Amino acid sequence: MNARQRFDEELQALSDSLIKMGETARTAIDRATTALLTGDRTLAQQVVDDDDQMDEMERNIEQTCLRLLLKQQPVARDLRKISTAIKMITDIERIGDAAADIAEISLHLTAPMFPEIQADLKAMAAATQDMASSAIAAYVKEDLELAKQTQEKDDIVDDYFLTIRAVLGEKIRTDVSLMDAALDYLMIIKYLERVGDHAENICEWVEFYKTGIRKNDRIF
Amino acid sequence: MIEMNIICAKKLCLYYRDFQALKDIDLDVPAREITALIGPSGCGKSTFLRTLNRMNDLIQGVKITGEVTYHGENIYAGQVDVTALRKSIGMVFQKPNPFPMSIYDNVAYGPKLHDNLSKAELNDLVERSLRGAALWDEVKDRLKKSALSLSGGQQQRLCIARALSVSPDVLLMDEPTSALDPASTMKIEELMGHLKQDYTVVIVTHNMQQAARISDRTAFFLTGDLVESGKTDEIFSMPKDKRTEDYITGRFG
Repeated sequence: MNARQRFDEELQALSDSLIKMGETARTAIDRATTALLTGDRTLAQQVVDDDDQMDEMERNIEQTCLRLLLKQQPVARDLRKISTAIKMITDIERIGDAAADIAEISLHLTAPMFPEIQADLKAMAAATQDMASSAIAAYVKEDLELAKQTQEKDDIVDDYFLTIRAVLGEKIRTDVSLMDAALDYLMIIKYLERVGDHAENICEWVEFYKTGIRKNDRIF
Repeated sequence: MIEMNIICAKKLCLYYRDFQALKDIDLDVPAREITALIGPSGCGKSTFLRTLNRMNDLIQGVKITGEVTYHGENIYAGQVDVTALRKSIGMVFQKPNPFPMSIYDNVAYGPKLHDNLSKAELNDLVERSLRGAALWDEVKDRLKKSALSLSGGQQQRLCIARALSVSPDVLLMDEPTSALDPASTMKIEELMGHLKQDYTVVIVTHNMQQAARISDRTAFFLTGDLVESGKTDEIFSMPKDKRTEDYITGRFG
């Protein structure tokens, strides 16, 4: 095997680890929202416990990327692939963190969910899961179109956030005793909203990998 | 008015007898920038470099069509003074080739031929040229010593000083660091960064990282064709042609 083929194998291994990390994050957010909506405490605890795995994956991928930069001094597609990986793992890890935070809150919720937000929260969770899952899929398939479609969905998540926040604000205004519960749910929707942002970032890196352009700017 | 492109090749073809080494090359060289020519061995990059100051005239059986303009004038037109051309467009080769004479005389050689200078003027010019090549401090106390006593890296900078001594405006460099150790290579690269403030530099290099580090623009040659040229940052991050991508990422060549 020549040096180039070995490098290609290392890049493939890098992609495989990134896909695995992405899948882990997607699973975490799926489980966290399911646990929240169904009140499944065991599942919530599992999400919290699994977060360490994610941190370790991030460290390993980071090391691989830095080692490849050092040894291969990559250019062109190779450079874009490795720099994309370095940036993406931060977003993937944050999705994992958000999932763990949602799970953590759902373990300590003091009041049942307000019926007024139940449908929207469910829809928001589904939209967020969909974004995270599509963003990872866009990376795996190197699908620029899917990346763009996924980015557009962030507006939907943001709209749910604003709608639910307004309801929670109203709750607090009308009955101060609901403050703690409302704040818990406010945190949850903020974490979900952040997951949407991180999914959007991942899509931007997919776009950079494919085109050299990020947020309409040439990076190099 | 600032002249953008100091040298322009237009539909340039070069044949070594029946073999076509350059095929319809169109390439502009912007003033006061470093242009790197890259490509695998035998791709035509050094041949192209040598067409820019008519060094190929010296090779038997060479035929050239198309044109190379320098400040808008075709250098292959009949009335061109080739010696004057090579004074304006100097060359530094892969292997340092100082003359077997003193350091001082190596630098003074050209000006003595071209200009009638006083001793003081000549001393001044030698110092300026050696300073320009970032060599002065290392040799100022032994100017009368043989140039061959210098290290390879110093010899190469001496050759650059020699090229600078006749006040060129373009420097052609054919793999100027491939025979040097990393420290000497770094010194030459640093020097090139300074040189481009006053000169236009065209460099052939096999070292891809060197091209990426030092050049403003890169042109990729393959089997006599100019495949792609453009801003170095773009060529090395997002090349347009798959052949460029394959070459710079080490898939062939």
